[in-house]
Amino acid sequence: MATPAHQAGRPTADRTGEATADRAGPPADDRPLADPSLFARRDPPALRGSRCTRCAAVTFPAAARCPACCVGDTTEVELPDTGTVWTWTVQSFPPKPPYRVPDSGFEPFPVGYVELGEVLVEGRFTGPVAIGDRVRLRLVDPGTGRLVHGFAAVRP
Amino acid sequence: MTGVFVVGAGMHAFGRHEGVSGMAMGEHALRAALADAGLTWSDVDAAVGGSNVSGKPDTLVARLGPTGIPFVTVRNGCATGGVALATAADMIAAGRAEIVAVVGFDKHERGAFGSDPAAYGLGPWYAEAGLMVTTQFFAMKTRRYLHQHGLDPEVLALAAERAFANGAAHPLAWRRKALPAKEIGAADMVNDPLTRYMFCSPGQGGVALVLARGDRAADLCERPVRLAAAEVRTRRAGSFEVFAPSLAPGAGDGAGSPSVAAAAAAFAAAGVGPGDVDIAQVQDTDSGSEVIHLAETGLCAHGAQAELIGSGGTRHDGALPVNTDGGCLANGEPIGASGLRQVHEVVRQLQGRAAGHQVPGRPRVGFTHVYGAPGLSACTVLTV
Repeated sequence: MATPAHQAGRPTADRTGEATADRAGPPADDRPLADPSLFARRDPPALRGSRCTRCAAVTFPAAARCPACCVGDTTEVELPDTGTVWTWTVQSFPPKPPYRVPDSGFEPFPVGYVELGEVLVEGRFTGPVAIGDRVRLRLVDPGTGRLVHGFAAVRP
Repeated sequence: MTGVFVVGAGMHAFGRHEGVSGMAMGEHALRAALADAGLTWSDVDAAVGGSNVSGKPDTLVARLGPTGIPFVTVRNGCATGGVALATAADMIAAGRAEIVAVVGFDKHERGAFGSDPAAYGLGPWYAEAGLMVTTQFFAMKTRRYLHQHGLDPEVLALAAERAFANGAAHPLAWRRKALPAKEIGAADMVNDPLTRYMFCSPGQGGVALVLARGDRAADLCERPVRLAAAEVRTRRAGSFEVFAPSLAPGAGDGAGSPSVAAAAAAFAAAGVGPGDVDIAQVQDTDSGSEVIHLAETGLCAHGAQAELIGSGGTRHDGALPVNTDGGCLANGEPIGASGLRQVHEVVRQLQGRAAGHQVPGRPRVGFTHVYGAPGLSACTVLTV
């Protein structure tokens, strides 16, 4: 049961500061990716993971040696672009450096893990979510002008 | 009498101590533990010390005396104290020493710990995205656990309420003020569902213990406490740890959890089960961690925490007293000292001389559990 304080801690979509990235979206967006190696492709975005040839574990980011069993080689896989929210929280205070507070000032933002097929991937959300919500991969600007992966709710 | 026993326990009060170095707190605790055992530094055969950020523990020989003994330094994050204790016990079990001193201390400044992604093998993008935050991890793990086991978030405030009630009664605790659950639940949200009063803070303090081989223990201590087990485990694949860009499906189900493994190993080595435990300490970096660890260590069933905590079962006079000195929530977490604080409290409880709330009915079996990044747990079983 959420207390009023729990509700108060949940930012609205308007307050996350990420709506701009959603609206702009590729291909018109020429902001660089913070780390291109995280992505199998940019438009529409898909994450680049790896699958172990020995234990079959899927992990993200892609790794040459399986981080699950530490024995097997891996092959690259493109992760599904939609999934369900597995857990979430709201980052209510500015993280310490090397995180950079946006020039527009810090606004709380939701983060969590999304079940993307065979792996749970961590990332930011563009607005409030609940466990079990369907979400789709998006590029989001954390305020640095360099895009990272995030997730936006899929409205039925 | 064979085995390893705790024959002395000493502690520098936890909190924030202007003008007192971490090393000085360690020295204070060490002298108090030696006095408690009726020993001097020259009686000590070997020492183990841990500090995360506050200096080299082995330089304490310059303060206590250059007696030439081996002095091992450990640095294992939040599990530093537990690893130091296990190392000391192994020295005695291996026949390398009869009397071993163990000390842990730290002096952290205020505010959450910052972290460098490169130190965790992560690219700069992880911090840029705002994901390099330890409190986020604890909140996400807690929310998933509550969801999975149908627990009301109210249990988080109730666990913290009990912690502060115990801290209020303990003269060496940092937070000495009781707080009602309602106020804890309504406080500023740090990372939903965890409020400001549901997280421990980086703190300052020192703890020391003196261990003795069984045949020496009875002469040194009126009521020696047997260290029946001290086990350390690291994570296996599938555990849910901090700073993970991805997790395996089913993470958080306990598979791979170092806490599950360390607790099971400690109970097996001691020849007792979780049901035999009269008093326990579990890592409560935050309220959710306590809730999760109560079940991961086997002390209660998954999902049974609301009933156990809500009914007062974890109070000092309940069926399973937990964190009777206020735990990390009321004491803060000077990393090197934290795991030893747990043992200090349980030892004194088993000896019937708790500094704060004494557990009634002469408890005989104690258990401690410390957990830290990036997936490391240490558990002990203590008996009288």
